[in-house]
Amino acid sequence: MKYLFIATFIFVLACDPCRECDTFLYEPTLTLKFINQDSLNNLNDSIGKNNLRNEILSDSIIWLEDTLHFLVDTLIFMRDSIENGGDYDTTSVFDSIQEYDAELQKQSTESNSLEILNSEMSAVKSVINSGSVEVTRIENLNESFVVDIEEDSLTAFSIPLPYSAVQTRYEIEIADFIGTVDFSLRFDTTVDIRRNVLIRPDSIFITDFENFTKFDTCKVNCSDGQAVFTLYF
Amino acid sequence: MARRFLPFIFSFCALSLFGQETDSVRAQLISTAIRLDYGKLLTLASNFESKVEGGVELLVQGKIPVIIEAGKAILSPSEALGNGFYESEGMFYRAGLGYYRQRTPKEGIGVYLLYGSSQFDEKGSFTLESPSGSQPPLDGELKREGISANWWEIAFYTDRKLTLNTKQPENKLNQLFSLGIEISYRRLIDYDSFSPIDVYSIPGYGRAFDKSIPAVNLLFKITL
Repeated sequence: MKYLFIATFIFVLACDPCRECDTFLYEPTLTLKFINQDSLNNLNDSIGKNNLRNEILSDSIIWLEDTLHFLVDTLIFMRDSIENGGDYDTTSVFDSIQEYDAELQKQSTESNSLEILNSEMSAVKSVINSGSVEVTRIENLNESFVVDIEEDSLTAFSIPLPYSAVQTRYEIEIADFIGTVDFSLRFDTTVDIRRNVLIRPDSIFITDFENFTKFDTCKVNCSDGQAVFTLYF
Repeated sequence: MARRFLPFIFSFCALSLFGQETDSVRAQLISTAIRLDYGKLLTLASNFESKVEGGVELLVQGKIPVIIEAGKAILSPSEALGNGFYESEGMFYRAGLGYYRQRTPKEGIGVYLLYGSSQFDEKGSFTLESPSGSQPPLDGELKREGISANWWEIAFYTDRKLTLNTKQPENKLNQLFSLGIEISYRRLIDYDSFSPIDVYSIPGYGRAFDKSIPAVNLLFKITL
C-alpha cells in the first residue's frame, strides 16, 4: 500500500500543463484567378484572321503549283519538238515559269510566317487561360488591409478573408486595370482534432463586381480554403 | 483500460471481503467518521487544477457504510482548448452505500456503489492570429453557466489505522485516525452537452468524452 501512495503522489505531480499554447495561426482564405478576356478576344480575332488568310494562301499555292506543273510540261514538250525540227519560241513560257515560281515562294513564305505567328499567339493564349497575370495590388477595402503578394506573376492568388465580416470588398489592380469584387460569407465555429477553436466560412459567394466582365463561381466546395473564383477583365 | 483491471480488483476484494474473519472486533451500532481526500489537497499546489473533497461516513453495525461526500473543483486542463484558456468550476456530490469488513484490528476493506452529481460553470477564451499579418488577432470567448452532470461509481476501498501510541496499542488514540485508498470506476449517465465546443471537464468526474473512467482517491479518516 505504501508504494501505491508513492506512485499516486508522483502521478499527480508529474502532470505539467502547457500554458504557452494559447494562440493559433489561422485565417480563412479563398483563391482568385484572373483571366485577361480583352487580350484573349484580341488574340482569338488575330488567330482567326490569320487562319482565314492562310486558307486563301493554301488554295492559291495549290493553283500556282498546278500551273507551274503545266508550264514545265509545256516547256519540255516545246524543247522536244525543237529537237525534232519544230519551230517554237520558249522565251515567254520560261518567263512565266520564273514569275509563277517567285509568286509561289512568296506565298509559301507568308503562309509559314502566319503558322509560326499563330502558334506563338496560341501559346500566349494558353498562358492567359491559365490565369497567369501580373497583379499589382489586392486590397480589402472594408478592413483596410493589403494582401501580401509574394510573386508578381501567379496563376492563382490565395486571399485572406476577414475573421468575421459577412460582407467584404476587395479592390484588384492589374497593370492599368482596377476592378472590385464583393463577397458574402457565412461563418461557422468548429473545433479541430487538436481542439483549436476556429471560426471558418462554410459558404462564400460573389454578390457584386465592377469593371470585371464576368466571373466563374466555385461549383462544388465554396468553403474556407477550398473556394476558387475566376474573374475576367 | 479500466476494464482490464476490473477482474483483478474484483478478485482482490472478493478474497478480502469473504475470507475468514479474524477476530474480536466488535461493531458499534453506528460509528461516524469524517473523510478528507488529502490527494486532492495536493492539487492546490498545481496551476492546472485545484480540488477539495470531504465527507461523512456512517458505518452501520461495522459493516454497512453510508457515504455522503461533497467537493469543489476548479479545473484548467491545457488540452481543453488548443488555442486558448479553459476553466471549469463547480461543486460535486457523491452519495451511496456498500459493504465494509475489518480484516485485522488495523486494516479494513470495502466496496461501495455511489451516485455522483456535479453542478458547474465553464469559461474560456481563444485567439486566432493572422499568419499573413494582414489583420489583428481575433479573440473569442466561451461562457456557460448552470451545467450539470450525473454518474454512477463503484469504489473499492482499503484503510489502515495509524498507530500513534506504540507503547499502549489499546489506546483510544490508535483507533482515531486512518489512511485509506479508494479505487473507483465511474460511468457517466448524462451531462448537458453543447455544440460545437462541448463540455470538457466535469468537476468530480473527469473529462466529458470519457464515458467511463477509473479514479483514485487518497483518504484521511477521523473516526469519531
